[in-house]
Amino acid sequence: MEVKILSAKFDIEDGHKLEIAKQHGAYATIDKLFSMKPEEVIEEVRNSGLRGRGGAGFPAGVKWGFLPKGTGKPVYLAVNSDESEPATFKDRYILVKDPHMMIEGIIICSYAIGSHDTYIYIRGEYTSQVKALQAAIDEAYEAGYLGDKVAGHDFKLEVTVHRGAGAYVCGEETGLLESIEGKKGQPRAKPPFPAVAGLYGCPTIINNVQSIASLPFILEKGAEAYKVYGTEKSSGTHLFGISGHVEKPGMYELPLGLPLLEVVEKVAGGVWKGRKLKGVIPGGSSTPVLTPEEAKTVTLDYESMAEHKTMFGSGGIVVLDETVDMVKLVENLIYFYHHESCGQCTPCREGLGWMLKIIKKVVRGEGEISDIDLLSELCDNIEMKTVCVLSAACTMPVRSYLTKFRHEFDAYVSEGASTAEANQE
Amino acid sequence: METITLTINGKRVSCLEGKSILEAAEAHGIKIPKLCYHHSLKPFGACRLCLVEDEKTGRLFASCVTPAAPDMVLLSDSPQVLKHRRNIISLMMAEHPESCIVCNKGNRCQLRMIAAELGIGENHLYPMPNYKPLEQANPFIMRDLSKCILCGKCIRADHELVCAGAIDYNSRGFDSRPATLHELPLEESTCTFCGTCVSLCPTGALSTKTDFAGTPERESNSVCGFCGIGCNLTLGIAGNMIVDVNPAHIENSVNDATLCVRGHFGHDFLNSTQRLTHPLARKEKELVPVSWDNALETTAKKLLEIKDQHGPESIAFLGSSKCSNEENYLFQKIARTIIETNNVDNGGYLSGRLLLDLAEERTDKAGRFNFFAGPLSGLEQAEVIFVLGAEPDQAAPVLDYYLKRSAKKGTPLIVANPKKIGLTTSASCWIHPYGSPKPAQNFFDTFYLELINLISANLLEKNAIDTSFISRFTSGYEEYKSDLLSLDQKTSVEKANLDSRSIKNAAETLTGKKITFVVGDGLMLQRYGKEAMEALLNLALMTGSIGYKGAGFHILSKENNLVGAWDMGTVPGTLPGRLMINNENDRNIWEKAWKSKIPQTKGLDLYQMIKKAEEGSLKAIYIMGENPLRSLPQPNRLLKSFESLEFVVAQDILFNETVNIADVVLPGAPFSEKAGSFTNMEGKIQCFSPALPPPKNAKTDLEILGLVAEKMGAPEYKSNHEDIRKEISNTISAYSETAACKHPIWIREKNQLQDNMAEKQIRFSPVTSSSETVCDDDYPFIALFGSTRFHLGSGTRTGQSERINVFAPQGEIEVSPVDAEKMNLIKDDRIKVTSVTGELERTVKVNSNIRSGYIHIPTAYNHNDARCLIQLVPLLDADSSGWDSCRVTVEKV
Ligand SMILES: Cc1cc2nc3c(=O)[nH]c(=O)nc-3n(C[C@H](O)[C@H](O)[C@H](O)COP(=O)(O)O)c2cc1C
Ligand code: SF4
Ligand code: SF4
Ligand code: SF4
Ligand code: SF4
Ligand code: FES
Repeated sequence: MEVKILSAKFDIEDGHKLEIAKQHGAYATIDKLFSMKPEEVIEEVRNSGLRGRGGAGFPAGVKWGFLPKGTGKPVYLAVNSDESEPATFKDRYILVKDPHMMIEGIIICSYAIGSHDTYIYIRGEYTSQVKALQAAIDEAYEAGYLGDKVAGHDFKLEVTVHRGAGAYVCGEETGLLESIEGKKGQPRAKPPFPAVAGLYGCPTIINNVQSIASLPFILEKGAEAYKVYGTEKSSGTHLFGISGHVEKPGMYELPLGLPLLEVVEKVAGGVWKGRKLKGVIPGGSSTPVLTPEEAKTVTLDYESMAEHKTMFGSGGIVVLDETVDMVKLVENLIYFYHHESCGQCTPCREGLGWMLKIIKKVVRGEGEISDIDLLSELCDNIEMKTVCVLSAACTMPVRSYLTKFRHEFDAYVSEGASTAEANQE
Repeated sequence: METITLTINGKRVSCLEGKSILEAAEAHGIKIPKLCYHHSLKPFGACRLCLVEDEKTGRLFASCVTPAAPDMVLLSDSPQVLKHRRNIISLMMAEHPESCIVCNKGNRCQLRMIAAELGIGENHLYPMPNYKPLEQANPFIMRDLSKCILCGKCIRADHELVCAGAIDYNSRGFDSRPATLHELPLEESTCTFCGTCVSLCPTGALSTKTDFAGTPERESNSVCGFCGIGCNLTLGIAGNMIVDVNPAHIENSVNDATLCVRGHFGHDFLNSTQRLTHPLARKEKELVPVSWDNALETTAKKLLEIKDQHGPESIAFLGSSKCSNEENYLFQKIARTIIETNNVDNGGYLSGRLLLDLAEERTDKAGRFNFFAGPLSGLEQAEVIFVLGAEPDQAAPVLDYYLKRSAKKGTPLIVANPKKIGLTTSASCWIHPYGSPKPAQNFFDTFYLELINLISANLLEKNAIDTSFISRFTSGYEEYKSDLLSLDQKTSVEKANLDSRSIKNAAETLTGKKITFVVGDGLMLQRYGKEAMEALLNLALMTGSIGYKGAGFHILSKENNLVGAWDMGTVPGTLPGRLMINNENDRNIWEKAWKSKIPQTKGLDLYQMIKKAEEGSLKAIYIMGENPLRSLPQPNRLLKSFESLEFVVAQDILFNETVNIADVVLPGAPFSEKAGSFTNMEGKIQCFSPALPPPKNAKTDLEILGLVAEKMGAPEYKSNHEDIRKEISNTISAYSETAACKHPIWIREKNQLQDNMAEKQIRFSPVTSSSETVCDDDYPFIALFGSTRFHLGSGTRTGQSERINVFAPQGEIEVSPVDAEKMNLIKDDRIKVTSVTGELERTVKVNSNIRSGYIHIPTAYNHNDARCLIQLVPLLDADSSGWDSCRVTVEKV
């Protein structure tokens, strides 16, 4: 099932080093790139059907097309490597194992969108990763792939690494821009969208690391070759991080469109310790949970996930076995999002605080049935009434647990905490 | 821009493209509750209260951040919207401490108001208070961040409006709060206590520190009586006291949501115990209360007697750059037509008004050109701004906000000032003298003149001139050009200890642009102030920076009605409307209006009045709203000269140094207790009405002047402000709108250059250079004087503000670290400063912004003792050492 496109060089010793990477085809697309017109590059990427790998799945080529023309302002590219969504661990592999693939992607994207300045926003906690990334960028400058003349072509490109300071919300694209500008990472109200007024008020494209790293393949082999993988609306391959209660957790590159359960069985070795499946989080903690029943029919692509009222997200699959206490899971979830709320909008700042207070009360065994109703009411009151979707990233999954596993919450109320807990074992 | 039409609550509304839904709704009287929106701040969308529903899709939008789009169909209070709005307020209330009863925001709290409107009382959410310690260490601002709803207005105001950078968001999520760097107290941050954040805060999280508890009974709009910005205020009144001052938040007013610490917090001086509330007259050396009749009778009788005995020239009238236009008008009319003297001046003499005259003469009079740059809002569109000798962050903070905002947007800003002022950090180029003053060489005097000459020469060499402007509107250019080209640049640089690189830099920045000049006392009160101003006008002509959009001159005026007093003819040489005394046609205009002869020659200016008193030929002076004994140099010399007068009348609001030596004291009223108008530094006339009656027996100044005239046998002079406005506008057409003045209006509408082509041309004036000043070796330091933002002028009024006295009582002299070390000085040591004319003692503060060889002495403190160091010599005299700096010795005591 596994394929090796993005991860082609991951197993090569010292594949992150320029010399080795070049032996395996790094920067091979550059000459072709400069023989094309920028519009042609955009067209190729649009045709490939590549969708953003940061979570929202927005078609990359379409996004680039939103850039206004002739504003007289510089265009910026920001590469989102904040990767802070719980259960997501794919971009880090690219940063460490094949950074040159991403840098090549940056050159392709920059040429296509007419940008000469890239900021790579990297998660603050990625201390070893930032070293690997910076080393690769230094090598690329040295070798002339970055700087005044990219690979000898008349194209200037500067790449700057900006380290985050440990805030999940800075992965949200406008929070990220604020943070690069040196302010507190508070998402901006949209519109205007970054493509129109982004970094320092200039047109800006923000793409995820994996989105960018997918570009060299598309340019080299062409859109059609990319579309060989995946489904019609979800083309290509994806780095899936499979974690939780499986025998072989890890990062696997797979084409999109495979049946979820088959992947869990065949790739990740199935639910561990011979236990029963209780649920699957399909794409990072912010995606609504799937019951074993739902998991049977879902495939790993954007359409199928949407049909199952959840989201493809960031490809971080978490398998939950029968021992998982969903109430405590929800407590943990709310705790995380409450902690990560930037605090600017009332519903998120106060509302998530509220939800945390209630779920804690329930976990303590002091909850009432009305508290559980209040929880879902708060979900409704918060969701989509805020500046960014961080709050929805909390309320959407919480609502799914509340509806799909309601009995467990009720049990905490009716039977008291310890019994409810014991019943889970 | 296109107009678009949408539907809100079934009503068709239209607005310009780009407007938000909220703006469109409000413009059509549809009220949408809001907590984080303010028209002067960038929309932010944080509180989420302003939600509206899209009727077609059921989606909710925050209306303040969502642009109105054609054919939207929206509901501002659908059941869904109301539900969410209630929920938001409930969430806020759940976090809010239950202290409404004792909160000073009282009935003005917007959270409480909206909660009441939405019918939210008891809450189904448990309380989740977020306690923070109450901060109230300073006398201005109280912070109780437990009540903060994180609307972000304070932070945005601090960044977007006043550019102070004192506060920002701290922490995140539920713990997020506005805070200073490292959560230090406000007093240790860059906060200027402008209070802009306070007046924007919707809850009691930020409030004015005050003894008054509760909500003012009523509010009344007014105009700040301190500096020349003329900020629009809202006065809160309870009983017969002003208990609260806030910016009036009038869109497109000069200050909108901003104020400075004086205007916001210093008006408590109006409630001072030093207010004059009863007429006084001197009886056997003591000032004792007398009846109004008695005081007026004495005034009129004495003045007429002296006029009879010694002639009209023996009497002088000192009007006020603080009093209204109407009062100044009547004041000079009394002087000119009843006493028949042109010996009229006002306190503006002290802040470079003479140079205003000069500039006006060169430009306006030459062909009705206007050298004024017009509204300050033009600064935000300026091409390049050149600030010379001004310290706006202290003298006129609202101007500083404009400049910083403009610089933030990328407008190049050049600052010329020997001191590192607040603005230098925003400047693209800072010109200052290098090194410390050398003995026997006073390069500081020559600083402004030489740097302007050098920059002009640089521009000329680069041919960065506006040839079409020069040929169409000026004369004498060729001569000017050759003068400037033959300027010995090397000597100029040396004379003023300049760095030729910074001059080049500045010239580079100015190249090809129309310049907006901001000129302050530092330049105008110098020995070479006049020459520097001439040179600056030449530069403006050469670059075509006059009469062009926002370009031209902003003359920083420290006094609220400096321009108005000048316009109203409270000056020796001009009549109201700036008509010239020595021009027969001009004079005839007023003679006809007043049905009276006007003396033909220019009268005495303030300095000459003093001189004549010393010589014995001046016998009496009538002073309205000025305190020369505190504001002029060499106060002791002045005291002697005034004491030698036969008769001194002081009409004032506070007991002060001048009142103390008067023979008759007439208690007047400040702006808050009378009707009138002020003309601000933009040239905008702003009218105000009384918020309160004058206290006890005090009267409005206009009434007093009328009564004095009546006692002198001219009862027809008694009039109210409306009659006076009519009288002025009947004669001077530019003022015609004043008669109907309800709103601020402009008198100096910009002249179109094209219309004036046929008129006289403006002459370049000859290039002058400073001559080497030899000064006394015995005085090795240069003392620079400057106001602080806490005080205005001599501090007569601000010195009576309790808040300001508590916060900034000292006025420490600032010395450089190098000199401090040399003299073994540390903070709070005392030093004695001596000049040719006097000495003073104060504590010191070491400041690394001061360069060695200089000291900085804040004015207004300690009865404005700094003035005793300066020599009282007229500014434009060749032997004047200027009023803004002098040579001194410094010793530790
Ligand atoms: C709260 C929040 C956190 C996010 N964190 C990340 C992240 O860590 N990495 C990422 O690539 N996108 C993240 N996103 C998505 C970005 O906003 C954005 O959609 C993405 O970077 C766009 O790139 P793409 O089109 O290539 O996916 C986050 C979004 C939200 C709302
Ligand atoms: S939803 Fe939460 S994280 Fe997003 S902007 Fe609002 S407060 Fe900040
Ligand atoms: S008082 Fe003025 S300077 Fe101080 S924090 Fe408020 S807005 Fe900023
Ligand atoms: S202190 Fe006041 S103005 Fe500032 S964020 Fe809080 S509520 Fe808003
Ligand atoms: S003193 Fe000047 S800047 Fe301050 S509030 Fe008054 S008019 Fe405005
Ligand atoms: S007023 Fe619109 S979100 Fe606060």
